[in-house]
Amino acid sequence: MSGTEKVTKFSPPLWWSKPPTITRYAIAVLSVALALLGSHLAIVFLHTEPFASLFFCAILFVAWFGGVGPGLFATALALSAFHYYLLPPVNSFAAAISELPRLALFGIVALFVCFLSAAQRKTTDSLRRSRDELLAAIENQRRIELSLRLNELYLAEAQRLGGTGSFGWNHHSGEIFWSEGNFRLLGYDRTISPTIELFLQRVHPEDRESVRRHIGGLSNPDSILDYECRLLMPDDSIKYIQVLSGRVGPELSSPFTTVGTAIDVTERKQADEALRKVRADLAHAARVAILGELTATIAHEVNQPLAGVVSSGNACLRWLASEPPNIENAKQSADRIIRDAHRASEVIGRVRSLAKKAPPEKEWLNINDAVIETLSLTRTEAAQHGASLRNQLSDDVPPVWADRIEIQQVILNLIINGIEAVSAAGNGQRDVLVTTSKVKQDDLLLAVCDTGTGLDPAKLEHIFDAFYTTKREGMGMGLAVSRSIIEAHGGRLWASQNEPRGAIFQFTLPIIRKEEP
Amino acid sequence: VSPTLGGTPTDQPIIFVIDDDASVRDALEDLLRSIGLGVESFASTQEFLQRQRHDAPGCVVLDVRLPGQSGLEFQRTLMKSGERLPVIFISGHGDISMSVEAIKAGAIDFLTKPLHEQKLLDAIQAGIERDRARRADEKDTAQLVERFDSLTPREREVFMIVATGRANKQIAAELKLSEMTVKIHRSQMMRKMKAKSLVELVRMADALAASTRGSRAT
Repeated sequence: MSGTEKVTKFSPPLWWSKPPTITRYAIAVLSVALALLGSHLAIVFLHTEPFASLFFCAILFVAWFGGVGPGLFATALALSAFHYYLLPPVNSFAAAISELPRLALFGIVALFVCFLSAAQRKTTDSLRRSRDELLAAIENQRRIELSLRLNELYLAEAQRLGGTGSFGWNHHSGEIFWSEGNFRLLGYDRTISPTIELFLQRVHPEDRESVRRHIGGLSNPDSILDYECRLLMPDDSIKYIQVLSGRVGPELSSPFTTVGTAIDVTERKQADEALRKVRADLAHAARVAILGELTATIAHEVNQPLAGVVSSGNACLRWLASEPPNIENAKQSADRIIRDAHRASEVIGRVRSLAKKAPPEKEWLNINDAVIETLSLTRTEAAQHGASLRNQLSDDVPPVWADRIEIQQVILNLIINGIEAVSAAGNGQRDVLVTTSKVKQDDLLLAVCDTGTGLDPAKLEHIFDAFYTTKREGMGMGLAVSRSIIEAHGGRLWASQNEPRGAIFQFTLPIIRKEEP
Repeated sequence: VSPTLGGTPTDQPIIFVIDDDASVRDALEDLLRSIGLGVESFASTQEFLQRQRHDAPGCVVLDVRLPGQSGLEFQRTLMKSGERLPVIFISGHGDISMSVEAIKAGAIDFLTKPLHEQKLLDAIQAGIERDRARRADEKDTAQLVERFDSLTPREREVFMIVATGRANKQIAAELKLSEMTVKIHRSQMMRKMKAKSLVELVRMADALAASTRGSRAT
């Protein structure tokens, strides 16, 4: 809201403004002259005593109209005129002694009237000014209120369009404010008085505990909250919201200790999810396409010499079966068989050398560091699948001599498998736990335990085979490659059932002490 | 028409093997020789078109996947050039749509490598028989054309109308001749064409029409 609106300057109407000084004094002279004329007229035509009161009227008017100065001037003039024209002996300043009290009384009354009238005028003026100022202030207030209402309207509309809501919370009083957008976001009627519990009711049961923790963290004065959670709406639809909030400093004298905003990010989430899926599909399609291409080429390369072997074999048999047997030709056929078989073998050899990768680059590797690094890579994936990642890393694990990238690849593969397994398992606990420990003095053990779908005992022995997969989108290479990496490091990789459900994938790596590599 | 070696055509069948892979080519040549067939092998379709070949009944064993022109394209090229040698396709990988196309274009069979001996030999046998039949047909047609060419213009006119099944009286009216003259032309024509009956003559007319259609198409 804009509190900078200016208070309208009060300007009095024209007739109130004081005329120029000369005018005011001229009016003083004129007024006294008129009073004198009036008194004379009264003496001449009415044959009465002169009206001293006419002078008072003049002074009263001048003091009211022109202020104290002209009033005093008029008083002096009136006094002189009274003295000269009206006090016996008339038309002379030589007043009789007996008349002096009358003159003094006139002067006192004149002064009194003058000051009283001036004061009255002043009071009236200040009263008028106060009233006008008050009116102006009221007008200003009305404008501010109007602009505030407009601002509120804009805010509510903006929140409605943007799918956001704002809130305030006072820790001490427990008072809570929700904006209209917030009510809409949470799907509550505006008439309900907001509470934390009402908010938590809307939060998806699986997210409730973590949200409760976030809210608990607000007691820390420096905390700025930024978290995402799901809302389970009454119609069973799911909304994703992002909540941003922070403490309000006491210097702002706000009624709330915390203010924040909630943003509906469902569409963004869905778009992200769709994008991620498309990307994954594309990567998978590309992998499969390359593999398919490669397989077709290799198959053709091997098939040609094999075709030769078969036909030459047939020919060889026929030469031998002919009457008499044609040994020379049969021998040539057999030679060709041997030549072609060698050729097929060479093709396979070439493919193998092609697939052989660079020798591993080994270094002293702290397995716990490798686990923590890998876990940080999988946080997003875990969040997307609603899995919680935990670790229990033993301090008693010495470094191992290993290829960091390869070992991390294996850990990554096992963690991703775990996340996908708990995700596929649906409801209930979705934990993936990574542990490290030392076993039997010379082996290091890393285990990834999940609470997912578990393993089919019948298929347990096949899961490490190449191209074996239980996943719709899998290629069935992960575990096969992982096992070959671990075995190349002198370790073992195996799988077992977890209790009460899920699977454990674990591998050992030998701890080398004596020989420095 | 393909170049042929001079001399008298033999009846000893020859199989033409076209495959860019030496292992397959050599092994097939060996196998076919072991069952007493003549074989000529080529590493490419160009080589097949350029080299002079024996004029003998036979067929082509053609690899689908060849450098440059594919086997299927080559089959079409052969058809267009009027070469009617039957084709047996061999392929390193069985591709259904490819095999359907090949068979629709008139191939004897579509076999995948490594080749099953019996299937190959059956296909080759079928190919040779088809080529023999075609050659016999072509020989008959050539004789017919020769006989037809020996007819006088008037006899040819009579031949055309007789073949449509009309009686002498109608022919006479159409050609504005006397019935007697038509009878003489007709018996001369029947003798020259060596046709023993009207039915045989109609068949000859059909065969001639088919051959002229065929040569026009090529």
